[in-house]
Amino acid sequence: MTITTTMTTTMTTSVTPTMTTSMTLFHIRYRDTQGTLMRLLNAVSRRAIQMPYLETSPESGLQRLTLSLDVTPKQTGQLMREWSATIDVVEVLASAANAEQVEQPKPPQEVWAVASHAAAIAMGQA
Amino acid sequence: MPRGAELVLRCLRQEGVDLVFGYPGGAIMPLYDALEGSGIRHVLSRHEQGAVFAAEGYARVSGKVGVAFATSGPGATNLVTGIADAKMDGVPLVCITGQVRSTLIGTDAFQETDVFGVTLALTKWSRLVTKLEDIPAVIAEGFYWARSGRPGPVVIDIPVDLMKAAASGLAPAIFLAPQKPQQQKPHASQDWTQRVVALLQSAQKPVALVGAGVKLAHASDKVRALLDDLKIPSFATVHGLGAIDPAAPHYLGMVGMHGTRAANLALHETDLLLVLGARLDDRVTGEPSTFAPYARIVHFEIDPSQLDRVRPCEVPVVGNLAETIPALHLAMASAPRPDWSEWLATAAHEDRGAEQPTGLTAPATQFLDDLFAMLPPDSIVVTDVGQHQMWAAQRFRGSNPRGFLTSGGLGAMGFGLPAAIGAQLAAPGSTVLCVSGDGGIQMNIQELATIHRAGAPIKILIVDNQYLGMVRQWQGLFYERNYAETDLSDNPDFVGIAKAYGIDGRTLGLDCMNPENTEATAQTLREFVRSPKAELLVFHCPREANVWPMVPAGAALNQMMLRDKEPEALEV
Ligand SMILES: Cc1ncc(C[n+]2csc(CCOP(=O)(O)OP(=O)(O)O)c2C)c(N)n1
Repeated sequence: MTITTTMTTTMTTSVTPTMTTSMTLFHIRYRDTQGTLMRLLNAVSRRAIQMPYLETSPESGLQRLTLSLDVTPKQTGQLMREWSATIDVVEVLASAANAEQVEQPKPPQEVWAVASHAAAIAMGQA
Repeated sequence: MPRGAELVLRCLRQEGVDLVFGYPGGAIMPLYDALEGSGIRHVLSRHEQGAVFAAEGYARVSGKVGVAFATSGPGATNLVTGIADAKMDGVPLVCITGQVRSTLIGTDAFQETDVFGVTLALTKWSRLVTKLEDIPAVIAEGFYWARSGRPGPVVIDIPVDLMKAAASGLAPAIFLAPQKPQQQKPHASQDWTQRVVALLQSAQKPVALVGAGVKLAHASDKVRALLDDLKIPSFATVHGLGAIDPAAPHYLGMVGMHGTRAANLALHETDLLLVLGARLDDRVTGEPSTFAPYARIVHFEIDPSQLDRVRPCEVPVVGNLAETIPALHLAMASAPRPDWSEWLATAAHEDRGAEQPTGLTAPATQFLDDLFAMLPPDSIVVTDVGQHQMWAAQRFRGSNPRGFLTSGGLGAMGFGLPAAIGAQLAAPGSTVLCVSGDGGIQMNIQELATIHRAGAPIKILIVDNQYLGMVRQWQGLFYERNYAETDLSDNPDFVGIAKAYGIDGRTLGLDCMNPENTEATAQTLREFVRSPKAELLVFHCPREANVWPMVPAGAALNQMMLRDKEPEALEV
């Protein structure tokens, strides 16, 4: 028995383009309910992204998670959207991290005012 | 003295639950002990995976939350595939699992698994209950999240000692969701309607891609009204089937890997893509980098995490489609619009139309056409996963928005038969047809016992090609016909198995499609469809029939393989 196939056009095998990564600081404010922190971290680990720095601390009745990750813009968008959709997450922000911030990770306060484009999209405002 | 278990059941009743699917065991015994007189009917599956798929089938048809019970350890881990399936397809599901005694948690006690941990990545929300008095609030919140926004699966793990404890003075609770920014109705802004109207006004080749979100939002009527008015080409994902009337002149059929040529070409050529409640799975987009290369994208979606997965959209419209679609329709009503009739005529032209299947494929699809033509209009087709699933999706012509159920996102074999049970119990008056493969039916064949006991008159079709056909197709096309471990030519006697479970069955050989047998076959199909009881029908389809058209993984949507070459050379 023979089955051969025809195609309307020639197939090309595409290779995923490598995108450049950059160190990015993420700040997430969430209600500290069962499993919420694990869900946030799982969004990172399921993409096999290293977590060189993370810190979580209480902040005005909520919990705040700060992560510094070496990510592509696409990963940034994916993470922001996944975190924003996580129940009990109140706010997600991102900012480019400079070397100093990575070593000295307490972000300057003004970072909180800088909602990224991705966050705006995630909230349907872009 | 009411116990925790009774409290759990009262909370479920308060959420409107009157039917659950499950399987008992040590850690959930108090719940089973309390079932009688609770007002909740329990359907015993014969495997926890059967229970969770049945709960999903029930939810997909009824629009209500499906509920599954399982015991700790192996009972709970057997739920995992169904939970993953509900996550992928946005199905409202609550799984209640029994857990070992509170004092034993964390000790690797007998039948202890960290169900909360195991399911964390698959659930929308979950809780391990630690205090008796938390039960009402946890159940109320769990149901809220299961059904809100993009629906999804919830796991509530309850230690057995809490279910046994005296629970006097405790009553069901109501959950009030905290507000968060994206829940504050972004669609309320008029800004996006103006932007979408402007994009439509400048578009030469707009199209609409309809997904499951339209059905989940109960927005089929509103989407139909919009598209009937705009008269732009439309097509559906496998989960969107039934949301648009297949007879609508603008409807081009299913899109994606096994979609119609017309739909895939229109999606490739469009300059404005309205995505209506679809996730843009890679089975729909083809190779993401070549997806809709000329299009701007307007994405109507309730869940912001589904946006921009393939590439950024120009206008995200986050909100309930039942509200956003009428808002767009209203805005378009008074807006001048280009004449898209020529574009529609091109997109729907017969030279792009579905080629009639030829060669080995023809009998398989013709058989489904003949069978589907006999189904009453409100019928529900439930499929398993494989070639038969795609043939069924291609040939489905129903216009019941909840009339086509399939495991689309996860693609979980074993879904069909148990999901059909849930579907039938959700719609007792409807004809439910389960279309399965000879491989997939064997993944949950034990659920024939559930069907028999429940008296569910499900019509079960096995499209028997004695292969794991879809895998065999890929082996044929991309692995030089190395049919490794896909041969099922030693299949059991399915009719004999069904009979052993108390279900009648019969077999139709391939010769049933010969012209001289047309009337006899039609008679058999009629009897099958009209039978008041569960029935099995095994159809021997050509062993090496393939699903066409096909967009190979990694190709663009306009790079379709249309058929086997030289059909006349093929053997049956
Ligand atoms: C649980 C599970 N295991 C494996 C697969 C991979 N798979 C997809 S289709 C398929 C073959 C299905 O065979 P059958 O049920 O006979 O249906 P057919 O394709 O022949 O119509 C397999 C093995 C899957 N989708 N789900």
